[in-house]
Amino acid sequence: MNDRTGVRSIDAGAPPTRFARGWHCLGLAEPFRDGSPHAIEAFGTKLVIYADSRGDLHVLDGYCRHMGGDLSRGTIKGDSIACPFHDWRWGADGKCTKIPYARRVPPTARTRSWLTLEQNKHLFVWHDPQGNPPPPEITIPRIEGAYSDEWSSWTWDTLAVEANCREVIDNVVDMAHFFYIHFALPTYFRNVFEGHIATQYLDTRSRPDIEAETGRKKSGENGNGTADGAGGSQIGLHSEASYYGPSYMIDYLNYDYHGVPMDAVLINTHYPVTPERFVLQWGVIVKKLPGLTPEQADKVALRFAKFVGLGFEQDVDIWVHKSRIDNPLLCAEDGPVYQLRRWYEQFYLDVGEIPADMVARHEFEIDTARPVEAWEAEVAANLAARQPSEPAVG
Amino acid sequence: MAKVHVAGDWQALPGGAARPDERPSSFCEVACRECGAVVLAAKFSVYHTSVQWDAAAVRQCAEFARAAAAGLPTPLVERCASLRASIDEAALAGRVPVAPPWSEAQGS
Repeated sequence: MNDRTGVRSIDAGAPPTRFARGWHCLGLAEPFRDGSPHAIEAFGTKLVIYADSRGDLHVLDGYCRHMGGDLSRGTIKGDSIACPFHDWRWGADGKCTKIPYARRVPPTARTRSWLTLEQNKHLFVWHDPQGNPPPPEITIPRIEGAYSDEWSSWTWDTLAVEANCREVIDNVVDMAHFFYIHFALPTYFRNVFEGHIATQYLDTRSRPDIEAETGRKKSGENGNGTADGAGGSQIGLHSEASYYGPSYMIDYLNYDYHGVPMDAVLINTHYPVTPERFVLQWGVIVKKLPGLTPEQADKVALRFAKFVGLGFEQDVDIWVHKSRIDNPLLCAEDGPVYQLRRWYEQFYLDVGEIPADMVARHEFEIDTARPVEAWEAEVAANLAARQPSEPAVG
Repeated sequence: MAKVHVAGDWQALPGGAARPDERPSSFCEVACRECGAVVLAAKFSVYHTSVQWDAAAVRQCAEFARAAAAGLPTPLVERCASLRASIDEAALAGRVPVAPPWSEAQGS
């Protein structure tokens, strides 16, 4: 990896030419039931999403097999989607159900119908280049809070990113970026990869030097900072975040906000548009604090989602400027980047080609002693430089 | 010392992005004191721990079996405490080297 003069080279590699096999979340399910077809650009093509007369959601290839009309600009007629070009009707199973001006429908009139799933009030499509349905164990688990009156409603945000989606996956193992990009100080960091699930266990506390900075900016705003206070001082966070397959992460978050426990669930999910573009989506629900009305709880969720969004924008700014790198140069205090990527590679191979060790359980727990020592010193120095008259908080 | 494996016995995939970790690790076999499941373990420091399981070890793990019986699938179990204790014990006894990558002590 190093040349004759000892200089390390970056192997940028190339993004995979196929898209990952797995359930991909396309967003909140309910907004797709507004009586109109919806377009989603994903997996190198365009998809159309529509609700039939019972409200069941269906996903078909977006372009009409007749003359290539854009079905997402058509209309829903009964249980079919009608093309705006010549009114050809396509049903949920992909078969052409009717051509109003034709005596009969050609027997080959069939387009691609995508397998769908609704879970946690989110809509998913199954993508598999081999065309197989998912085995029963490859599914999306239920989040109880998504169906409970004790929790807020989902927030939902999207952001198109000009990069290959492996960049967002790499975050699973990236402990140090939490300090530099997200201004949180990690104290515990562990990964477990097994089967189609990859998990990050993370404890952080907030950085008092950053709080001191944003605290000044926030003066004058109301002090009831719950969600956005996640960046403030004295806030401990315990996070358990699992990818179920290549793109849907459920992150259970427990905050200790000045002694008040706060529970939230963050969804971090994406779908690929092209090998070098993906749509990042995130949604949040929070458990209602005692005495909060549903509206107030939704407000807390929105503020928290805004905070999460700021974090993703910080990530995206890195991703769109960085080089793809297939040979990261790691120190002992970095996470298991290679092992994570090996786990992730399973979604790009035919099922029969996946080696056993690719999906075998791997655990990696970072020793955070040295990083915490260095970061605490940096925080103390920042505080000392900012407030020379006050003692630094270690 | 038990058999030493490089990078947890992983093979690079031809042409794929999946490659072995470049950080030299001395993975050694450790048997769990509770159930006897054998894994490969490496340590960059007393606290750091890297564990490569195979399917047989996962099936044999008594703690995973108890979690599964309680409805928690193995991939969502944070760790097997008995195995972790067994690894720490092996490290203390010198059966798993405790050495950061590129150090003399690691010898690889």
